[in-house]
Amino acid sequence: MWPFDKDKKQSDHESFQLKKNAPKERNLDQSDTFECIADEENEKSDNVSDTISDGDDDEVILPPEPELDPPVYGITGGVSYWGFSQRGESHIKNGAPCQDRCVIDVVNSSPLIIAGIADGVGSCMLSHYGAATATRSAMDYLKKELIAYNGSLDDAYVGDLLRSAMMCAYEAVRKEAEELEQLEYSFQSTLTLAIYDGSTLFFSHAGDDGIVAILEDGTMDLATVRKKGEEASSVVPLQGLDWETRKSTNVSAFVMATDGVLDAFVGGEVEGNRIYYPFIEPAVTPGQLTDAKIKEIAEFYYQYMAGPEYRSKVTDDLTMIVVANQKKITAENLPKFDKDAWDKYSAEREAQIKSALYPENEPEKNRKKENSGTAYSEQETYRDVSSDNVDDAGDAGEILCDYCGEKVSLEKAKFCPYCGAELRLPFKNDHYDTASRYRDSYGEPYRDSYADSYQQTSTSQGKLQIPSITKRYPEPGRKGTGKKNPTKSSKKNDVYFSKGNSKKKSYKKYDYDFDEDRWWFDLDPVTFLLGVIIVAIVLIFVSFFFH
Amino acid sequence: MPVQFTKDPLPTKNQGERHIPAVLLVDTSGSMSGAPIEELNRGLREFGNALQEDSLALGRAEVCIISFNSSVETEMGFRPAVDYEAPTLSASGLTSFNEAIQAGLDAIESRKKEYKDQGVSYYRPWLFVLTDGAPTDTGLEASAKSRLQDAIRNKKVTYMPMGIGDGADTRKLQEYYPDEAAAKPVLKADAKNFKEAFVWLSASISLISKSDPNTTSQVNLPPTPSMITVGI
Repeated sequence: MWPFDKDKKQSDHESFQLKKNAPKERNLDQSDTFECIADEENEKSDNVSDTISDGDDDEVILPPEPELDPPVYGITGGVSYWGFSQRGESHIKNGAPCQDRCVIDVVNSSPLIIAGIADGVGSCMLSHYGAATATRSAMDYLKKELIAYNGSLDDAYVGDLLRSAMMCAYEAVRKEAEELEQLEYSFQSTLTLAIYDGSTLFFSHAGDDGIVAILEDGTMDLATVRKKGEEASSVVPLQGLDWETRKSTNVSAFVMATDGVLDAFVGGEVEGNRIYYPFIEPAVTPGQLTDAKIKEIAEFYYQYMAGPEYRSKVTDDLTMIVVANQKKITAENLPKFDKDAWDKYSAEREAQIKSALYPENEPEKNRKKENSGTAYSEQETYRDVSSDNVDDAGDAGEILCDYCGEKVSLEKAKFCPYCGAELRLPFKNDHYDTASRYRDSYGEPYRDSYADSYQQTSTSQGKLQIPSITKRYPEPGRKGTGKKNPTKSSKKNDVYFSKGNSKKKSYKKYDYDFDEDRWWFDLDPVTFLLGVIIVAIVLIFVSFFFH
Repeated sequence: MPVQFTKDPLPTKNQGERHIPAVLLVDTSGSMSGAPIEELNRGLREFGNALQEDSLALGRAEVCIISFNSSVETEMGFRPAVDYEAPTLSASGLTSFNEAIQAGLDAIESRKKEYKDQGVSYYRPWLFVLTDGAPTDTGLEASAKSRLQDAIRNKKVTYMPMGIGDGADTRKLQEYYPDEAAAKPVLKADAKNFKEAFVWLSASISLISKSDPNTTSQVNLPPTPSMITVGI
């Protein structure tokens, strides 16, 4: 037994009811033949009912899981149609049901075909119920209304009809959730509905399913807009109430598909939704005028999608419907496909993505500096002073006294307990900005000998770094300062100490106030006064002597 | 004439190739000195090796490593798994955990924008946080916590915190989940033996990268290694 049994073709309301004798979802193992696969039933889906917990330990009895309708095919008024849903590889592996649903039906004897597809939202536990209810209720509504309608299919009527069908589906799902005392969220699904009269295609659409239309002039286009969120897994479902209802004219054939199929042969919006025609080419082959031929093509696609080649690339549930007006499709007006142009564009696009996402020749460390907001030159290096007998005291809250060289804790002492000198505390902002260091208060580059001679060398971790400016480094208690405990500061003589790993750009800034060109300003006032008096007396004596 | 495809039925390049971005926030504060930082470096290397073994993850996973101590640094920007190079980190300074959370979320937002600009679809980004202590930048805690909670709540990111050693404040790590979160898993490992966590992380990313994005929330992650415990 195989799924394309003509006797199983959906007709009227039969397709909207649970079919106890219909083939169950199949475990699609490619090593099996198609027939074997069809005979392989999913034992799990034979359960009479499933139970789920609502979180309060109250078990709710659910109705039997909605079974997949068998594949459908046929021809009416010269318009061929076929379609099926398959459980995807990921759901087979997880033991999850197929969340896709599709329905095709014929209204009256005129070539008026209605079709609906839905894809349950993966993260919603009962979305397969929602997808089944949405398609069934919408298609029931469409068929009932169209049978009762005797007027022409003008835009206003069909537009209202499709919107009403979408609302009907929305309400049916909401009501089902309410009756089963489940969250409506659990039932979310996409839904796309189509009405085709052999030339004009009317459709209403919610989610990331899609319809590819082939027009009489041989062009093809993605008629729908994918309603997706920003992530690959996100979608705006039927319940998002973001529906679009439109029409395409002069349509000779169209393909409806859920994202498991659509995304495989239709590029993204950035690519202009370009369509890989070779995938649908056999489906729209002219001359499908008999059930046998249509069945052969439908089975070909069913097997291909059940096979390892397709399933190695797509693990989602799969739904595909193809409708073609055999009177309109001819060898002359079929789309022309340029494989070389396709491949060329693909290569360019791949290069563009790689270039944008993985820019080459961008050193990681440069990016790091930009991110941290600290700029410094790659050429700057630190002199290794591991032999300078200076310990890293930063983390421990200790500094070295400038006068006696003893290590002193900063926590309690303001003055060195060993020599009494005032301790010079590091600045609060210990991040070192080289750019500002090299500029004076007027914003001009700072070019004194100190700045020019500043050098940095690579360092080992945990060792305090000092710049190689020994010429200007004040010796503890150096004569000439005039004070043992200097307090004045000269910015020119700020010394920057690198703490720890130089890459971390964490610095302690120490200032000291010795300026050897202006040392006499630092003399004690009494000493200075005595000096002036002595000089004055000497000058007086000299003056008297010469007179 | 039998039905057949006249050309390759599907494009050679999978147009629907999805990326899975993962940001690793790793604590390199002074308390990680010694064995923990060596274990961290080993773990980062193991992580790369594990990724290399999975061809599909190799094409889809993208990793960014951000370290934090007194400051926060991007050790490695987003790179495809195939180009992953484990950095060698050293430990010193404080624990700017909150600043790192902000930096991690910034990196994710930035990457997502790049994906969108290029029309590349992606899985929900991962934010893996490894720390052995409590945050010291408490002034930034409220804003970082609020931002991360919003991101988790709105399904913008998968938060995966891991506490290393006894000093790790796992309760604090849990506070970064939204209050209403049903489960607030925090991984916990011994300070000298946690590199396996990175292998587990790699296996998890590989699993996600193979999953159907529409069923991502149903993916069962691989069991955590025996030395890693999960607190809820």
